[in-house]
Formats: sequence, structure tokens, C-alpha cells
Amino acid sequence: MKRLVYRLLPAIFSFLALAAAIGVKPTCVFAWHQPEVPRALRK
Amino acid sequence: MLKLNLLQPAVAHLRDKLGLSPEEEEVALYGLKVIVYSTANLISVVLIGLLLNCLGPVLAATTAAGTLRLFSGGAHSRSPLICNILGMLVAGGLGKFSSLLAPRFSAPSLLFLVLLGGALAFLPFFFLAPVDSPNKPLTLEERKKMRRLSLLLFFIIISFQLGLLTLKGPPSWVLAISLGVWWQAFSLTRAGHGLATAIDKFFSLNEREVLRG
Repeated sequence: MKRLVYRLLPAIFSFLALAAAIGVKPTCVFAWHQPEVPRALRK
Repeated sequence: MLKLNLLQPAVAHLRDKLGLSPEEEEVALYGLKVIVYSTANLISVVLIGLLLNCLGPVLAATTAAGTLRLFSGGAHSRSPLICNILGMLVAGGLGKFSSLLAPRFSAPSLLFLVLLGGALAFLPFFFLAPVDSPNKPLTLEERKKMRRLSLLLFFIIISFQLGLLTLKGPPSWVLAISLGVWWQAFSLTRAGHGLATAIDKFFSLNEREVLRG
């Protein structure tokens, strides 16, 4: 179980990084609250 | 606003286990926020649609306003919770209003409403879009691209409405899409920003009252 969790964590991080990369493309997210874009994703 | 923030500890756990750098941690937190806030918004909109028995119009209004918002931007709320409450109220209101009102319109009058409303809503999109957020400022190049995309999407949505009318689709959906477009056009204006600020102020005043007891 522990091994499975440790294998899953990098996949979760990759998924979150992908979501961040996609989420930073449009003008803002479709809701009325825009989270602050991290410096690493700003051009 | 009372805060129950589970996102930061979740990302901190990920950072500890994977040895992420501060930049990677920020990126993961941003990704998590985008997923969680968007999912929470969608779930609340679906729930209010089911509760008010008008899921189709509610989703039509939300999809029209939400997709336009992706490119045109608009007024923003300070807190994700306020944003969620506002989304629920607006989507529910627009959906219910259109499902009650649309059957009273004949097809030609609905067509007139779509065209006239579309012409009026076009002005804010043409002159004001994209309206960016201080949390995500746009470069000049991005502004040009987003403006083009928001105008293109605006015309695609109006064409879709005309197609629905021609194919005798549900009139409540047609009206709901129009209401969603108008709402999004309103959020681009100074009045829309004023509303967002007023709602933020209202909630922060209540927060102070609660904290004072």
C-alpha cells in the first residue's frame, strides 16, 4: 500500500502541473475567482 | 470569511514526500486550486439546477458565460467561496428565469431578442475584452489573442443560438444562453466590477461582525 502511494505521488504532481499549465493559458478561469498565478508560470 | 484551507496542507504533504522546490510547490498549488475551484463551481451549479428543476437552462447559461469568460475575463471576486455562492445564485436565477419566461415567447420574438441582445452585448466584448485579473495580468500579445478568441467565441455562441432556433430546440436553452452572454458582458463593465467589489465588501463586513461576536 505504502509503495503504491509513493508511486502515485509523482503521478499526482504531474497531473497538478499539467492542470496548472492548462489553467494558466486563458484570460482567467471560468469562475469569478482567479487564483494567483505562480511566478514560475508567468512569462 | 472563515477559512478551511485544505489545499495548502495537501500540497505541503506532496512537497515533503517528493522533495519539491518552492517553485514546484507553487505550481502544484495553483494546479490544485484550478481543479478544486472549477469542480466545486460545476458541482454547485449542477446541484442548484437539479434543486430548481431546470438543469438544462442552468447548464446552458453557465456554459455560455463560463466559456466566454475563459477568453474575455471580467470582474473577479476576492474569495473562492463568494465566487461559488455568486455562481450558484446567478446560474440558478438565470436558468429558472429562462425556463419560466421562454415558453411565453414566440419563435420570432425570441429571435429578435437574441439578435438585439447579441448586438448590445457585442459592444462590451468589442471595446473592453479582455479584462484581466491582478492575479493573472496579461501581456500585450496575450491581450490581442484573447480579444480575437473572445469575439470568435461570441459569434459561435450566437450562431449556435440561431441554429437552435432554426431546428426548434428548447426555447429555454436559447434564452438561458442569451442571459449567460449578457451576464458575462455585464461582468466586463465598470458596473460589473462595482458589483464584485460590493459583494466582497458585504461579505468582509459580515466577517467582522461574526469575529466581534
